[in-house]
Order: sequence, then C-alpha cells, then structure tokens
Amino acid sequence: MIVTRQWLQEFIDISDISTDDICKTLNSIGLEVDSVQKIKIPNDVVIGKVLECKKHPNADKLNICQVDIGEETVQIVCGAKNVASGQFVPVATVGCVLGNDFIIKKAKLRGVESLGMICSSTEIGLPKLNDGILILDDSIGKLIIGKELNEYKLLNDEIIEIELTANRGDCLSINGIARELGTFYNIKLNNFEKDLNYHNLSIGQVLSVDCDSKTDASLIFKAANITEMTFPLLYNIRVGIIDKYFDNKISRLLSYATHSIGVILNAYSRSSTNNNKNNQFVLNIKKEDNGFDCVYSNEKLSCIGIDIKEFDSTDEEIIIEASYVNPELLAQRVYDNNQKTGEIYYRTSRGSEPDIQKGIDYFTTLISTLGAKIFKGNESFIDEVEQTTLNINTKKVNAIIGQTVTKTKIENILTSLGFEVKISESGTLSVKVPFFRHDIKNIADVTEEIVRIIGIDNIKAKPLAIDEVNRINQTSTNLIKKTKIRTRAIACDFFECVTYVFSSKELLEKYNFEVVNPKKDILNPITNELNTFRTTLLLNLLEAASNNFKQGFKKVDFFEIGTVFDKDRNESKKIGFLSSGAKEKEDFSNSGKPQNITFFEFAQKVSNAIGKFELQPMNKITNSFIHPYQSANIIVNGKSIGYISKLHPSVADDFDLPDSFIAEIDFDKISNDLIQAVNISKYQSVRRDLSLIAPKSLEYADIKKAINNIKIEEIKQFNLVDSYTDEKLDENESLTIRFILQSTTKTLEDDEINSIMNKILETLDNKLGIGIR
Amino acid sequence: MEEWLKKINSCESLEDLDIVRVDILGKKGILTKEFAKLKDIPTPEKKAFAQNLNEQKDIFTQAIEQRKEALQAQALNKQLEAEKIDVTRFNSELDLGAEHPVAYTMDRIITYFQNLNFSVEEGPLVEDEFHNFEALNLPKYHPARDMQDTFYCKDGKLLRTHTSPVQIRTMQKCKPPIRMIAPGSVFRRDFDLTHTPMFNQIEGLVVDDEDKISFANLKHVLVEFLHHMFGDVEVRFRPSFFPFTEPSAEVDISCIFCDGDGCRVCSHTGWLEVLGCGIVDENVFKAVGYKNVSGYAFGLGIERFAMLIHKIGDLRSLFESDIRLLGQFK
Repeated sequence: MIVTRQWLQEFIDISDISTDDICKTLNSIGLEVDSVQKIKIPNDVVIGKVLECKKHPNADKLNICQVDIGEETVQIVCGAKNVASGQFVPVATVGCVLGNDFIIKKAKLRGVESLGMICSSTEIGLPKLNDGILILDDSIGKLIIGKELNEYKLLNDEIIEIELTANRGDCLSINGIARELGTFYNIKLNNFEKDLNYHNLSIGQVLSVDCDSKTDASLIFKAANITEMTFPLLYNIRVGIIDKYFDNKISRLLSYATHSIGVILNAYSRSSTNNNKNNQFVLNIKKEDNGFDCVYSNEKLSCIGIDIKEFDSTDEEIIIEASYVNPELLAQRVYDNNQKTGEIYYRTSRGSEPDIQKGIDYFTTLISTLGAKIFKGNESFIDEVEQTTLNINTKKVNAIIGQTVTKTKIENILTSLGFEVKISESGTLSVKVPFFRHDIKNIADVTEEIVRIIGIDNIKAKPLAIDEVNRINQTSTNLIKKTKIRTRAIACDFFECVTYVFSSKELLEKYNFEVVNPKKDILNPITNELNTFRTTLLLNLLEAASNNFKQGFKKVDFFEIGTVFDKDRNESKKIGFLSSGAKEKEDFSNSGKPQNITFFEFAQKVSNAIGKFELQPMNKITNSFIHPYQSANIIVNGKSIGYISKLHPSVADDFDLPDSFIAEIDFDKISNDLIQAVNISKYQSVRRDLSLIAPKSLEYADIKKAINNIKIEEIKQFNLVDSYTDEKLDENESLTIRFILQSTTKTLEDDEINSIMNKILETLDNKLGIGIR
Repeated sequence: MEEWLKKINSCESLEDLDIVRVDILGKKGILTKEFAKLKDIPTPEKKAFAQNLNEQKDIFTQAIEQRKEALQAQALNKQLEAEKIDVTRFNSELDLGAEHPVAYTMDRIITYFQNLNFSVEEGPLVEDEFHNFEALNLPKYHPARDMQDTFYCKDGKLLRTHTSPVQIRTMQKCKPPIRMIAPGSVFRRDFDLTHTPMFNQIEGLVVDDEDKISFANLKHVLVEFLHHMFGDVEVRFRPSFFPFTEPSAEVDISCIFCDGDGCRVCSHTGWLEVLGCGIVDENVFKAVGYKNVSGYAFGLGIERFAMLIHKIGDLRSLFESDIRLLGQFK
C-alpha cells in the first residue's frame, strides 16, 4: 500500500507532523513501513511557456521552440511529438544537473542553437506518465513562469510504502491510513462534502437495472456525462506513483478514487451495454451457479469482487458502479470454485471499504470538480447487515496484555477507531464493530487494537512464574546423542553439512537408490534437480564434494545428520559420511604430498565418530555407489546399522572425484548406552605376537571368531598388526596378530603365557587348519 | 696440588675427568701413594699427616664432583641444543572439521530455552492440512495461505511450511501446562537470492491456565533471549498479524551493522526483523480441544539469526557445503 504525504493531507491535517514521526507511528500501530522515498525535482528546472513551435529545417523529428522562462525567452530544440505552443512545460535550464552527471549545456542540434531542455516526467524524477514531454497545469499549484518546480510541494511529495498484513483490508486506502493516524494523533479527519455538478436528466432516464434478489453484493450505480471533463496533472502523477497509469482516463480516475477511499469502483460505457427501446442502459445483475454475483448487459460485463475489465471507451456517458462483497464469503467461493481472480481481488478478499455510498459520493464529487455532469438520483442495492456486537470484559483484556489499561482508556481507543461502545449493565463493554473492520471477531482481536494503540513498547515485560518440570524426553536425549556424535565427527576432520531434503529422481534412479512411490511424491517441485524426496544423504554430499574439488580443494570430509525418506515416504534420521582425496592436510610432515585416504583409515574415522563397530562383507549390494570389493555392513551388537564402502570408481568419475569413501548409518540404531567400567588389573600385562600362515581366501573374521570362542579371560585384546605376502607363500599370506595378556589375580608366569599361546595355536589348527610359519 | 686442581678444571669431557680422578685417587694415584706413606710416619706426626691427606682428598673429591656436574650440565645443554626446532614453522591451520553455522546457531538457541525449562519437541516434515493449516486458524480460503508457497504431495499431504504443526501435535499429545520449543526444517516454494526451498525454524509455545499467560510475559522472554543472542541491542515490538496468534507482533532489533543509523542490511531503517510472536488465538486451542487456557507462541528463522550473528551475506551459501565458508567455523 502506497501513500504520499500530500495525498494523506487531503484526508487529515498532518502538516505539523514530520514524515519520520508518521513512519514511526505507522510501525508502532502495526502498519509496517517498507520504504520512504522523497521526490525531489532537481534545481534549475523551471516552469516555461512555449511561445512558438516550428519544425526544424534540417530534421523531421525536431521542433524549434521559443520558451519564456521568466527572465528571458530561450530557444530550445525539442524532439517530443507532443510539444505545442501555449503549453506550460518543465524546462531544465543551462547548467541544470539532471541526475547522474547529466548536465544541461548550450548545444547545437543540426545547426540550430538550443539553450536548455524541455523535460518528460521521468527526466525530472517523477513517475512515468505519457510519452513525450510533461505538460503542466495548475492542479499542482498556481503556475508562475520561471519558478523552480521543486518549490511546488504537491509535486515534491514523500512516498511511503506500507507492507500491510492480510487482515487489514481497511487500510488499503489513503482514507484508511488517515483514519489510523487520526486515532493515534487524536486528529479529526477532514470533512468530506458531497458537491455534485448535476445533469438536467435523472438516472432513471438513462439506466434500467434489474437485480436478482439472491445476490449478496451491495451495489450503487450512478450515471455521468463526462464530455467536458478534464484530467489534471496531479491525479496523473498520483496514479503514476501507485503504478496505475492506464491509457484510459476513466480507468485512471477509478483507480485514483479507489486508492483514495477504498471503495471498489467500476464504470461501464454506453457502447458496451444493451440499450432498450426507451434508450435506457440495461443492466442485469445475476447470481451465477458458482455463487458469484455478475453484471450483464448484452454480454457479461463484470464479476463483482473478482475482476474489473479495464475501461476502454471514449463514450460521453458512463455508468459508475460502487460495490462491496463480504470478503470471507468471496474467498470461500473463490477457493471452492478454484476461480481465477484479477488484481481487484487483492482488495476484495482482504475487505474493501463497505461504505459504498461514501465511495460513490467521493467519485462523483471528484469528477464534478473536473467538469463532469452527474445524473440525478441513483440505483442502489444495499444488503443490510447488522453490525457485529461484542461483549468485552476489560479484566480479560488486561489479563491478555498483562497490565492494567483503564476501562475509560479502552473505551476511548475503541471509539476513536470507529467502534460504538456502550457500558452494559454487568459492567462489560458492549462494542459494535464498524463494517470496515470485518477482521474483528472476538476479545483477542479487540485486545490487539488496544495493544497497538497504547504501543507494545508501553507494555512492561514481566517474567512468568513457572512450576519446575523435568523436560527430558526422547527428543532431548537424541539431541545429546547427536551433539556427541557431531563433536566427535568434527574432531575426526569431518565438516558438518546441511543440505536440502530433496533430490533428483533421475539421479537416484540412475544409481539404483530407492525412490519415493510416485503416488506420494512431490506434486509441485521447485526445480528438476530437487524433484523428489531424498532417500539417501550421500548424493547431496557427493555433489557438494564435487563442487569443492572444482574449487581446488584436495581433501574433502563431510558428514550430515538429517532426514531421509523410504519408498513409502516414512521419515528416518541418518548420518552420512564422505571422505574424498587426501587423508591429511598438505604439510612438511608429508612433504606436501599427502597420500589418499584408504578404506581402513576411513573406517577408523567413522568409528571414532559413532563408536565401536565390526565390519562384515555385504551379501547384497543395494546401490551403485557401493564398491563390490571394498564395502561392508556396519555391525553393532550383531546387528547391521548401516554400510561403509569405497565409492564405485565409475561414480567417482561421474562426479570428477578422486578415491572416495562413503558410509550411511541409521542414527537411531547408534548406541548411546551408558558405559559400565570394569576393574583395572594391578598386574603387569604382556605382549605376544603370532605370525600365522593362512590362505588368502580366509576371512580374518573367522580367525577372530575362533580365538574369541576359546574364551580365555587373560586375552585382553588382540588385533592384526601386519600382513605379508610373497611368491613363495603362493595362495597363502602371513598374518601377524598381537595379543595383550593380563590376569586380574596375579602376574602371569612364562609357562602360563606359553600355555595360553599354545591353546590359541591348537584351536586355530583344529578349527581352521592354520598355524605358525 | 694447585696443578692437579687446574688439571681437574681443565678437563673437557667426563672421560678425561675420570682419567684425572684415577691419577689422583686411583689405586696408583698420587694421593693413594701418599696414604701408603702413612705407615712409615712416626706416631706423633701421624695424626697431623693423616688429617692433611684427608683434607686434600676432600678437596680433590669435591673438585672432581663439581667438574663432573659442570660437564654433565654442558653435555645436557649440548643435547638440548641439538634438539632445537624452528617453532615458527608450526602450521596453524586447524586440522579438523567444523560445525555448520546453522546447526551451531540452532544448538545455541535450543540450549538457551532448555535452560529456561522448555522441552524440545519434534514432528514430521511431511504434514497434513489439518496440522499445518487448519488447526492453526488458516482455513483453506485464507489470503495468508498461498498455494504457490506450499510444496504439496500427490496424495494431498504437504511439506510443513512452518514448525507450528509441532505445537498442534504436542498439544494433542500432552495436557497443559505446556512449555516447549520445536526446532526443525520447514519448506516454502521459493528459490531466489533471499529464499531457499528449505530453511530452519524454532517455534516456542507456552500454555497454562486461563488468564495466566500475558503479552507482558511474552515480551519478557523474547527481550531476554534477543539480548542473549545479539548482545546489547534495542528491541522493538511492532503489532502485526498471524492467523494463529492474536494479538500478534513482529520483533525487530536495532541494526547490529550500523547501530541503528541505517545501512544496506537494514534497508536504511535502522531495524532488523528477527521474530514473530503473539498470544495464541482461541481458535487454535479450539482445534486441539483445550478449554480455559491461555498461552503465547513465537517463531524465528535460524538462518536469519546465523547470518546476522556470523555476518554471512548469502542465504543460499548456507546450503552449498562450500568449504570456503564452512572452514571459517573451525
């Protein structure tokens, strides 16, 4: 909603209040000021009168004008088509600076001297209006030749753009904003007096309206003859400011009046209507099956509250229509019928001004002053509706606000906002809501009115006394777990990512990930790359890694904890890891050439982040990211919680990535159990290595299982420390396993240690047929 | 004697010192030879002679010991010196990952409200009309509900456009009093310089007995919170409109970039809008079957907070996983 200071001044006297103060007020009463812009016509642009206008001898499109600019008459060569003698025009005199380094200089155009420039509206900082030069008239003030245009305050206006909330249809007009300011500053609005220039005929002689009784729109029609109507500059500039400069003058004037007063105004021309034998315009107003009230003559002319056709006739007699429809009713019907709506619907759905009598009076008075003649009388179809009355308990109002506002103060505020307030017998306030505030329905709405006028800044903040409650729940427990994993992942070099929960369906399918059932997929995706729900975190991480490598990074480690969807669109939380390229930063410790990360190094990092796990070969490869020979299920307590893999080299190629590794794990399956400590043994531990010769085909997991199954309490830990293979070993390899042995009851003697080691060897021989070299 | 002491003090290594020690105190050392003479010395003089020898022995022993310590210290210093490194070669680049600024900001906000005894609640991202709109007093035909803004699914479900449905779910699940926040991702069908199709919000809701919760309480909790997040800023409440609260307000802080003088970030207004809030509309309570209660609610965008607090210029960069941005948060 755009208002200007001078336009507001027509409705309320704000001459003593600064624009800054007005903006502050608008903000504090809930009308958010988006921007303030001051029109300032440059210095040395003066009013000139074109005394003479002749064609340029050497140029078809140029005119040579003699222009009186007060102290002298200057010759100006002008290229505008609309220039003519007798016009008052803005003249940028020699030396004038029109914006960015555009300085008016003495010039010769095709051999003819030119001393200045006759300007268009945009050249002097006004909105775009007609093509060609701006022609001035005294609607902006008395025209004095030679006077600088920046001295005309109606032209040098201040434009305030307000971002209105959807409930405030009543503020979609200059009058509505003036009403709000009037309440705040306690200033009465200027009196509006209906003053019509009557035609000698009455409306009945030119118009016949037939209205269906089922309609619920309120309508008033008047007729006017506009033969002698002028259209002064000031109105043109104002419709230019609100970006409603239509080609047709009547359309422009209707927009002007609607913007001023808030009533929806429309006009029909005689040529478009069906004249009967009495030479009357004939209008039929009918309720259509879908519930909309429409105006017909020989064709459908308009649909009330939905759309207005731009007036495009040059007829001398017009029918003017003012209308109002209940916004909730209208919005419901539009929704139910999936009805297309025009620009006017923005106003009607938020609630246009219901006082249509005032609207039509405003418009007819306006055009009367411009020379139109108004036919006597009107045709009106007004739906009488009872005003809403609310019973307001002021104690309740104060409880909502949290501090005391006296009953008198509440009464005063509501009265100044146009509510009718009476004190009822029970002491509550009986409040009649004005028609233009269709958004006020209950005590909370009324309280909001009080709050905005007293100002929230004047409400004292008060802490709330609360009962202490244990607020720990599954969500907060999960948050703690998440924080722990995140902290550990970050310490292991991984950057945390936040990516969209969307994916490209084509890419998911290309790499054999499951996709959400098409019946449940997104109906209106925003781009093709984000056209479905993600079923993996890894695709986004891969794309992100690829972009970073393009930026020249040599090492990328990412993780994300986020929601993914399954084919039935069920949501679950996963954690995805990705490492690409170098395993450490380029540094003198690695002569600036770090090695690429390997499977086991990646697995160690992931494990450090999420906790201890085992790896088991995958029996089923579920997607094409997975490397068939470097991949595993991640096992915790015997159950798979996710997978880890080298990125398939052909996928790495698709994304221009070096050696990369991925893991995706179910967040909920990651254990968060409290740790139970065991007693530390006071006795010395010993290390013993076993070098075994085993077939290459034998999985280490089998050896591990065999050793674990012996259940020797003294084996505190064992792990593979070396593997070696050469030609002599053929299909076998040498595996060195280091054991840490310790007893909780005594220091182990050599023979006890040997006995344990022998037992291990014996078992490995029996179960797996392997032994030392 | 002087000569020998000189010899001791001129020794340059522990080995040399040991040779001198043997020359003096060893089996064939000069002092040992003198002690051997003791048996031939007549008794009356014996005592004085022995005393003299013992004194000499003490002097030598002490001198040797001192020299030994000096040499040892010298040797240690040499060793230390050999271990000298150029500490300025230290690569001060941190070798670890980093929290995402959005997740980090979300954590800070959650922690703040947890400390005020708010519970944390979550809800699904795919929602239904009822929880996302209708229960929140946003009927289908409401002008505030624009089809263009919402991602719909082919089965009529939708991606939640705010975290407010979690309020509804929590109220349905629990009995009042309620004191909760709901952090999470939300979705709007908008993608340009200042909009991403997904962003994150935190929503707060407090519900208690009728007439207990007031706007003054809401103002208190938010002013304190904004001071915690942004430091010493001015806080301004502007009346506004949200279908699910009444009265409603938008909350601004004085611009942290220009101290309220007006700059590009605050569009020369001196204020930055950071929050929406209000007293819960009775229709919301009706939708969940609550009677005789009062409450307040507020909501904010995490990205907005993260961008303001960490001076991040581009909203979309937060979702691009660019290490040039993420690496700054180590």
